[in-house]
Amino acid sequence: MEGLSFSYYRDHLETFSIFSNSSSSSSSNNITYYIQLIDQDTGEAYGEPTKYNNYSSINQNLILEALEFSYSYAFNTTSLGTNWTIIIDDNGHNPLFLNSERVTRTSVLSLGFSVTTITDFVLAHENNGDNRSLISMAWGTKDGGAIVQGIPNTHLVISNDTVSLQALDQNGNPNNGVGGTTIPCNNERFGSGLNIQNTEYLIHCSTIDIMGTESVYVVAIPKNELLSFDHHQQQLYKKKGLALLIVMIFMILIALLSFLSMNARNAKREMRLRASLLKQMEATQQAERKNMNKTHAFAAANHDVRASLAGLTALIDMSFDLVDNGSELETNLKQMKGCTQDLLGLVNSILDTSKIEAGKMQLEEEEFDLSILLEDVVDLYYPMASNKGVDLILDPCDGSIIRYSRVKGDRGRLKQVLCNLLSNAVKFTNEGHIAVRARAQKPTSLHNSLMGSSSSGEKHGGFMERLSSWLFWKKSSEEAGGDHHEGESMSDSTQQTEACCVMDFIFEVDDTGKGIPKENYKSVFENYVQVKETALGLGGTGLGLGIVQSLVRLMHGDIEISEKDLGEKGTCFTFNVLLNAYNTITNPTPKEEEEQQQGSNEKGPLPTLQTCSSGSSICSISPRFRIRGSSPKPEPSRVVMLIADEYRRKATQRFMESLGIKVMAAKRWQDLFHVLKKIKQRCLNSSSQSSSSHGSEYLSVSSTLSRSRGLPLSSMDGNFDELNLSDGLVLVVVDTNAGPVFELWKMVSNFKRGLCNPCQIVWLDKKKMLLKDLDRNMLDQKDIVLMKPFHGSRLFQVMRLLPEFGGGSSRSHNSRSGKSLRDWNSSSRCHSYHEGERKGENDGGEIIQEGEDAKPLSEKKILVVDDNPLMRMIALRTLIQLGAVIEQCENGEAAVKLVGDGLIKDFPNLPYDYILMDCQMPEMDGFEATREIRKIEKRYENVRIPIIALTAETDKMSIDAGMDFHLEKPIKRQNFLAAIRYINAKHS
Amino acid sequence: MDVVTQMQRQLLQYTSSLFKEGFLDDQFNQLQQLQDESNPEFVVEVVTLFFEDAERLLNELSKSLEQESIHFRRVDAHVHQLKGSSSSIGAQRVQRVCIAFRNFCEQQNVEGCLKSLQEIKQEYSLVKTKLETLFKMEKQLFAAGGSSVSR
Repeated sequence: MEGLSFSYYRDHLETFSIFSNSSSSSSSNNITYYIQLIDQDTGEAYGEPTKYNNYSSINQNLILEALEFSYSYAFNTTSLGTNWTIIIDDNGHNPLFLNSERVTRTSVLSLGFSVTTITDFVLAHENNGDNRSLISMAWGTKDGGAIVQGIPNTHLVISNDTVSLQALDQNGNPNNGVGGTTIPCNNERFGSGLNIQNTEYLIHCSTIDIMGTESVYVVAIPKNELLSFDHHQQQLYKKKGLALLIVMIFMILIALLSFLSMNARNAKREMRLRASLLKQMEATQQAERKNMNKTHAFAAANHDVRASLAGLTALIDMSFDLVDNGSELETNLKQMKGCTQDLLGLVNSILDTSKIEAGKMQLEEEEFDLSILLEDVVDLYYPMASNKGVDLILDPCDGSIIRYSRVKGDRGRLKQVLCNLLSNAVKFTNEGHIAVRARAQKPTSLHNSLMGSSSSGEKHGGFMERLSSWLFWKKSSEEAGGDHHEGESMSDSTQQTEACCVMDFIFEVDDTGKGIPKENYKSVFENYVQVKETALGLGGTGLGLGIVQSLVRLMHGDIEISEKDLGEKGTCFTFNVLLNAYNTITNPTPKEEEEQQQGSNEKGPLPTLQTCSSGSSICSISPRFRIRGSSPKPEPSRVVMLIADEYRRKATQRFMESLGIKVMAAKRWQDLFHVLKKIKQRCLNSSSQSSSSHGSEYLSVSSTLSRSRGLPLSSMDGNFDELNLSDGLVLVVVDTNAGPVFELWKMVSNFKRGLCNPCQIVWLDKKKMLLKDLDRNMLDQKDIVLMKPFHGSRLFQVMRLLPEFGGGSSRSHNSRSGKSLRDWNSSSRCHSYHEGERKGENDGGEIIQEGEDAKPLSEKKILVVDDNPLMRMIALRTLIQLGAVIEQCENGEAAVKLVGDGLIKDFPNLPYDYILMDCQMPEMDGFEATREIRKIEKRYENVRIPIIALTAETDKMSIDAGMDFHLEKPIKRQNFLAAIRYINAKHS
Repeated sequence: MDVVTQMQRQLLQYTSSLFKEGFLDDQFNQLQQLQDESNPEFVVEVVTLFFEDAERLLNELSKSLEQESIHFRRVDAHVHQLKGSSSSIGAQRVQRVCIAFRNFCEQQNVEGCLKSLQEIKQEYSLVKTKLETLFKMEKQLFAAGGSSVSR
């Protein structure tokens, strides 16, 4: 207890050092302590040391005890090692762990910790610092040396590896038998329980090594507190889980709700859509109904129009009887009648529109001459066009239309189409020209595809119809071929099919009018559409092109507006139709060659062109035929043309040149003089000079000649060498429109004078200027004056004047043909048509004649079968007027009997030439009677009496029953004649 | 001759009115064309035949339609005949009603049939009077020395 002592201690945040010099006083009571502040970082003391008198507060006893202990320990043991003890001060507070070490003999170093510090540390370790206040703790070294009784009301004894804890009662006496436990200190996780003063404690014992001293600590935790704590924790977790659950449910609910609402919205939308669809459908149906009603009303109105038109026709007919023959009024009436018929046709066409709309349109197949049809149509519109100062030209193109002119198809519809396009063209063209071009070609796949665009139903039916008709015609043509060329080999059948085939006819109507804006090219074909700007003030329903398109499609073609070159005015409608065509010229095989001339004549395909009964016809356009035809008459003719309209001139020139005719065309009337002079010179020269030089000159004159098809130049030259030029005809075609008539006349008559070649003048005099300006006597009798447009058959007629095409080389022949042409020309168009028809019939070997007084059915025996006396009477009268001999009976049975008896009586002669059979009769109707009659006929050889059915309905049943034709009631003269013609054509 | 011309004009006007009002159609013209010197009374004969025929048919029709159970096929046949007759003289209004009648027959519509029958009767009597007037006028004209218009 003597000497110096020095110690550091921490009080709160400051570190102090206490030192004393005990050597200065012998009594421990008089030790003076000094306190000095210590710098925490450096450990150096700073500040003034103050004398510390209040040493009671620093627990002198403790220090002393500690010092004592250490002293004794250090000095007694004098060994190195860890010597820890727990020192408890008098009050039992602030126990210290203390270790002392002897340094020297007299010096001891002690180190002490407050137990609470370590307790805190351990508890922090054990319990994460929670609920520290509740936990009490006891300490002791393992060897049982030092014990800190930290747990209240207990007595702790530590022996070796176990700790026994004895609970004390309130007086501090051990509560025997009640509380006490012994716990092994083996760091078990769970301790045992102990009841201390009615409180359950959980006791846990652990060992701890504090600076090498094996120590034990016991932790006592009140059980219920722990439980409540756990419970609390659990509650917390539960709450958290519940919150989570609620959140999840909430989210699920939201998802569900949104899904439901989306569903609902979708459903609503669908409902709305359905509702609108229903509404739309209703509207559509209503519109359709309205449309239907409109169509019906339309049809009804048209029907009435038709009725009044019929009245008009009748009136005109009546007026005919009142006027003198040949008066102007009569011609006017004729034209009026034509107009009313056209109008009727138009109304019918409008009715057809509704038919087309309903898809019920049907084509009536009949045989007709396409070139005549074209010419008719063009001539029909020619006056209208020329009134407007527009030239209407029928361009023959390559002549293919003439070759295939005999076709089978719906004549009326085709005419309707052409008329419609032409009337449009005339309507919208105020200057220039309108050209109608037509050509035939083999159907190409392109047009098949066009055909495909038409509605499938039509197409199907149409195709079957076409196929059947094609087969039918093939058969009939073979029959016909058999009649004409008996003993022909089988190989000819292919040629026959060649002769009758489906051809694609392409028509173009080209005008120089206002044209149609390009964007309207498609829409003009829709019904009721008119091009506003151009149609201004011209009227029309806008129905025409729609019908045209429907019709063209019905005929397996299509229509479109061709694009014109830049700078060209106007519109060009192009359409094509498929028709059954008969090649009017069969390609001559070597074997057939000699028959050709005869054959082509016999068949007589082109009646109007057959009027000149010479070897070859004008329609022989195929190159081979032409060469053959021209070789016996080698002299080339020349054509000089003066035509005002450029297009007509070029078209005519091109056509003639394509046939190998040399054409010189004068553009202006002044040029004509030079051209004529040249020709004259050449002709005069030719008589004296060698011919070879002329050949070359010719070539220079007409360069296009070398291009003419199938005609090699060498052969041309060869022909030229041999020919006698003086025989070549000079054909001069002069348009009186092109210049002053008198000048032209002078020029031409000068030319004629002193010309050694035969010469034929054709005046084109559409405005009758020739007769106005010239005296009739001034014109040469041989000259031909054409007042109608120079195209079509008139062009061919004129061309036939050329020796190459049948015109005689002699002058007399010329004049004769010229005269016939003039006669023909002066007669009306209608008449020419009749003439043509009559010719055709004559060629067909029939004696039927048509005319005012003629009785085409004279000496024909006809049986009229009808139950109705009225009908019988009318039929009787009709047929008697036609010159027929009539027998009549009331029903089918009687008819069958009459036929049977008649056949038995004198078989080789047929009892009747025709039978006119009513279909609906009592007892035995027409169909059955026909079947019976056909049965009877079978007993004889080669007997078939043509039976014409008379029906009220237009049903086709009659054909099935074996009837040859069916007529609609009431019987009409023209219809009956047409039927007879049809039957004859079929049987011949 | 003035009277004759006037009568001719009247007749013409009358005839045209018949056409205009749709009583007659082109078929009547055809009939007139069938009349010639060898058969000068042809039109009158035919029309008289028509009258007889029509009256017979109309009687039959009335009888058929009065019955309890109507034999529609027979009615249809009658109407068909009447249609044929009327169309062959060109009485197109009668003919038109016949077409409607036949439609009703097809539908077995008794009311429609009866209505049509009434209509036919009316049209028939109308056309009959008209034609009779026409013939009377022609006769008068003929008596006055004018030639028949129809020739």
